Amino acid sequence: MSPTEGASLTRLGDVLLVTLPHSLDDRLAADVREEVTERVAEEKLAGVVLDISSLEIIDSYMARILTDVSRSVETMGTRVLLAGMRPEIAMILVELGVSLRDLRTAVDVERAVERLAGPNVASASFSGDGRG
Amino acid sequence: MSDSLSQIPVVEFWDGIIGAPIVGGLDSNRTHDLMADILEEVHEKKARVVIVDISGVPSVDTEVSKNLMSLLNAVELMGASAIISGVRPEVAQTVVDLGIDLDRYETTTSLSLALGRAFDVLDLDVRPAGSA
Repeated sequence: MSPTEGASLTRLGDVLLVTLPHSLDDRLAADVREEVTERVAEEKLAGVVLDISSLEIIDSYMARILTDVSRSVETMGTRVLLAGMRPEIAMILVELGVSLRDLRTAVDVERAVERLAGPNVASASFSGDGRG
Repeated sequence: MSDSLSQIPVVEFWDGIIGAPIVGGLDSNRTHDLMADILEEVHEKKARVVIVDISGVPSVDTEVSKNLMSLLNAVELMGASAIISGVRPEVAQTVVDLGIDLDRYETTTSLSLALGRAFDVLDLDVRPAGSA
């Protein structure tokens, strides 16, 4: 399996961390969806975290991509959390009419991992005291 | 664009808990400014709970509710929990009469009850010093 160009997939304990680049296109989205769903099928995962903290722009098309990836993984019975959304992205999504009915989110990656795998994994995976 | 009188302050109630006391109406300009300020604070302080107090809002009509819901949706998209506090009896009745569904949001009658819920979200146990 080749690493998806522009996105990186890392295993943090039982959680698969998918770090997305500053923008998304068709091909990248298809690759990420395929690779993530394959790993969900092969590995025993507590959940998937999509790190979108680098994402600087979003439109309805990219929002669709994010919800499609999330839904595909959730259809396989695995939880997905979007982590690190920037304020300007949240404002655009609200204007586009996307709400939490479609996506589940966490403030940052650490919090997302904590929610999916429990605090032990989160504090083992990150330096610092882990509570804030 | 907001002058100093219509600007709503975003305050930090506790580590991880921020909020905004809305006094007066909530038109789309004010909502936009408040949303930008709140989301920026969520992002910077990694806030996990946002309390929007509406005890100073004289009447909640369809427009105010819609703006309020956009605000809460944006907060939740960033991964924080949103609580509406200060829901007065007449506001509760109006909202129901207008057919507005605030059920899926956390609501309380007072700011102190909202703080209590926020402590629960953060897993904090706040009690008098020396009590068991």
